[in-house]
Formats: sequence, structure tokens, C-alpha cells
Amino acid sequence: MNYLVMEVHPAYAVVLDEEGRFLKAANLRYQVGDRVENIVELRRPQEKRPALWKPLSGLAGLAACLCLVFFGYYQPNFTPYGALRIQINPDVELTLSRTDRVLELEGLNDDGRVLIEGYDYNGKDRKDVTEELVERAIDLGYLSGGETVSITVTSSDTDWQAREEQEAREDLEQRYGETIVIQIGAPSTQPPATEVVIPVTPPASKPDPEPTPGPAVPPADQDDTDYGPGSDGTTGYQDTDYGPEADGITDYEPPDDGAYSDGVTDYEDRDDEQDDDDSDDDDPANEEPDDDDDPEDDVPDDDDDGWDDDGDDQDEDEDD
Amino acid sequence: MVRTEHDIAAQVQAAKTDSEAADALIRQYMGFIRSETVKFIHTAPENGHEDELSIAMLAFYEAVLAYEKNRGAFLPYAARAIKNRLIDHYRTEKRRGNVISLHTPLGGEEDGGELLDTIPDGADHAEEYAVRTADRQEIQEFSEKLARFGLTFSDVADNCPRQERTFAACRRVLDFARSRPELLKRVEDTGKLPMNELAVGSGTDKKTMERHRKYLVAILLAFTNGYEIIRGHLCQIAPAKGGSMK
Repeated sequence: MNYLVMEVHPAYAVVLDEEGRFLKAANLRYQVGDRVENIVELRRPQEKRPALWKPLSGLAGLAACLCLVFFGYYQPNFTPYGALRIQINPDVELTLSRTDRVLELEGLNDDGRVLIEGYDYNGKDRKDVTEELVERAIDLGYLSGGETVSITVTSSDTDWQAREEQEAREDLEQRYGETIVIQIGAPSTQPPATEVVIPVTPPASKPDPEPTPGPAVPPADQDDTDYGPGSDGTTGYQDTDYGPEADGITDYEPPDDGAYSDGVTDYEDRDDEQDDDDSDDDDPANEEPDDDDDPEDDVPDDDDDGWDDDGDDQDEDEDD
Repeated sequence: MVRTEHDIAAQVQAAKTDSEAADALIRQYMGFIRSETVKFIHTAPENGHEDELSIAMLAFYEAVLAYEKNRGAFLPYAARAIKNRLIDHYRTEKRRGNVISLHTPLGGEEDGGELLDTIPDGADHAEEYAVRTADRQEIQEFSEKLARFGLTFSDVADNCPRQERTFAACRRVLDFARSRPELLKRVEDTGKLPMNELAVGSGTDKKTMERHRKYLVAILLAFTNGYEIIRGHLCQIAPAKGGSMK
């Protein structure tokens, strides 16, 4: 390739190559207008790309700091990790963070609410709060010597739970161990749920009536009599109201006794004239035939037999 | 006046962009460049080592361009750059193999003749001189034309596309412009690129053209009337209607 020298400087010359590039090259005593073959081209410094990560690096750093603060400080200190329940008689529950900070204090019964009323747990840890609560319980008279304080820790982290229980117990025993009893778990004052055992004897195995050695042939139909000791109680009748398969539906219709029937067959209530007691004459259905019969019966008592049952009847009716 | 490192750094900073400041700086530090070269070749550059001195000056200029102020003092860096560049130069020369200087003495030392004297000189010196003068004149004119638009060859060289793809794009612009002489005329008159027409006609991104504006102006001007020698030199650029793109 030929280069045409266009311009000369002390340290370099500008040359034009045959493809139209203008280049800077070492000025090996060139003069303008020279055509040269080999040039020592200028090496330009590597162009630096604008670093794309630079504006982002600040953001990334900030995010890293936030993560550090969140996972290193906020989460262990300010998010609930487990709960510790103190039962004296007052029932109190402490919500704890992983680092034993008390985040919340809640009274689970009335005494518990009285116990924690006005108590400031802010920024205190589990040890301080449990001790102070026990002390308050003593002051308020809920707890006296020899009584039991039970501690229950619940958490999804069983290791943490066991450690907390152990430590809470040790802390309290160290301070109050001579006067009160510290117990882990729910108080045993409630009677334990008694277990009722119902003895169930297995049904006596019936001896096989016919140990048939051959293949078990199902009994033929004619063998299935409903009588005798081998009866299975199934008669094969469709719908009997008897026997073990009775469905309790008799299909009987209540007999229709006509319009005048009240459906109650009170056999004491005899409505005939012979036994014409007025005990049950409030029934108008029975009264009307009486009124119809009466004019016929009450013909003038022409016969002088002196027997006047109608009169009695009449009298009695009138008396009514 | 005591020159401090701070002054040098400021001068170097100025020389990065201003070619005249760079020339001045190099002239000022010629002694330093020369001494660094002598340390390497262990003799005066005049004894057949002029090329090394030129390479050292180029290396100094490269060091000026690449220097970063917050990464140390300039002069030790320049010394290192000169030394590395000379080592590189020697390695490339060695790869070229059996090359002997035209100034190699012939036969015995008492002779005094040189190899150059034995080569028959068939060139017509008078004509060569005439051609050389014509070349120089045309380049001078071209340079003056560029100067009217505020450009120097140094600027154009700095602005020349170095990536092959970008160079091809600029070539497309050139090919299109050559097919539309009125566009070339407008460039010649105003020194401004008709960006929209060129971008639409050549399919080159406007941003690319803007980035290499100085180079495009220079190469388009070279294809206006009157620069036969330069155009003759650019023989690898296909004739106007050919539109071939290497």
C-alpha cells in the first residue's frame, strides 16, 4: 500500500492511504508529497467505554447496605420470632424477636391485662420483662411463696424454642427460685383430660355350622327356608312389615269414618240414646240428631203406661 | 523558573487536542526524547539511527495522547513508552529479515564507497522534481481549502473512522455524493454536509455522519474538481459510477 504524505509535524506525519483513510504515522524524515510504502502508524490510546456500571454502582451499594441493615439489624430485632407465655394466674404473652427483644405484650385474661397495665416494655429484653412481670405479680398479690409460674415458649424454630425455655427458666429460678416454682409447659392445675376406655370385646367367633370341605357351593334356593334353625330371617317376601327387613312403613291408610268422625274413636263416648249421658254432648254433631228425634219421640204421652222415658229424656235435655 | 510536574501535566493536557501545542511540547522536550533514545541505542542517532529517533518522537506523542494525570508523573511514563516502542520497532524490523542498508560500506574500509552508489539511477530527476512540486502544490491547495473550513489534516486524521464498518458507511456516503455532483458542489461552497440528502441517499445513520463530519468533508472535497493527483492516489476507491465497495 502506498501512502501520500499530506502534512508533516515534528513527531508525526499525516498520510493518506489509497482507500481514503487519513492516518498519523511516524515522521521518518518525510516531506509533503512523498509517497511511502511502509509507515509506522500511530497507536492511539484505547478508547475507554463509558462504564455502564458506574451509575448503577451507587445504587447497588445502597441496596447492599439496605439488605445488610434489614437482615443484620431489623429482622433479628424487630420481627416476631416466637412467643413466650407466662401463666401465674394472670396469663400474659410476650412476642419476642430472635434477639430476645420484647416486641409486644398481651394479657390473655383479665388478671393478665391488669398485670401489664401501665407497664412499659419498650426496648427491654425477655429477661428483664419476665423478671419484672413476676415481681409485679408478687406486688399485686397474684403470686406468693410456693406457687407455680409456668412458662411456655412457642416458635417455629424448635432449637430457639428449647433454648429460650431453658434460659427463661434459669433466669427466673436464679432470682425467685427459693420462693416460687418455675415450670415449663402449661400449668397442671387443670385435671388432665381423663381417658375413657371402653372395653370392646371382639365378637365371639361363631363355629361354622357346616365346615364344607369342598368348594363352597352357594346354598340352593329351596334350602333357603324361612323356618327352622338355619333360617336367615329373610323371608324373600317383598314388603312385609315384619321381620328384620321391615321398613316401618305399613302402608295402611287411616280408615275414613265419614264426615262426622273426629277420628278419635272414643269408645267410652257412646252417643246412642240408651246411654245418653251428657258428659260429651258438647259435640254439635251428636246434638243435632237428638233434636230431630225429639219431636217424634215427644208425641203426647197418650198411653197411660206411666212410663215416660221421653219425659225423662226431655227433662234431662232441658236441664242441659 | 522551576518547572513543576503540574506544569507539564497541564501542557500535556493541552497537547492532547491541540496539534500545535503538541508540536511545541515535542520541540521543548527534544532533548529528553533524544537522551531516552541514546539510552537505548547506545550511540548518537546521527550514526544511522535517525529512524529510531523518529520512532521515539512518535512514542512521545503517543504518550502525550494516552497520559492520564491521576495515574502518575508524565516524564517517567513517556520514558517507558519510548523504550517499549523502540523494542517493538526492533522486533518488527528483525522479522523483516535480510535487509541491508543502502549505506552499507562496500568492500574495504578505505574505499569509502557505499552500496547506494552502485545501483544504477535510471530515474529522471528533473521530471521527478516537477512531479514532486506539482504534488506539493496540490496538497498545499487542498490544505488551504480545508483551512478555510477550519480543518487541518491532523483534525481529519483524528476524525477518520477506524472501525471497518464505520469506514464502509463513510464510503457509501462518498459513493452516493459522487453520483450527485450538485451535492459535492454544495460541500465545496459551504463546507457543510447536506446531511439529510446524504443520509437518505446513502442509507447511513445521521449520527455516524455527524461523528465523522470532518473526515467526510475532507474526502468529499478531495473529489471536487482540481485534485487530480490526490484522486489519482486514491486509486482503490472505485470510479464514480462503479459504486463498488471493498
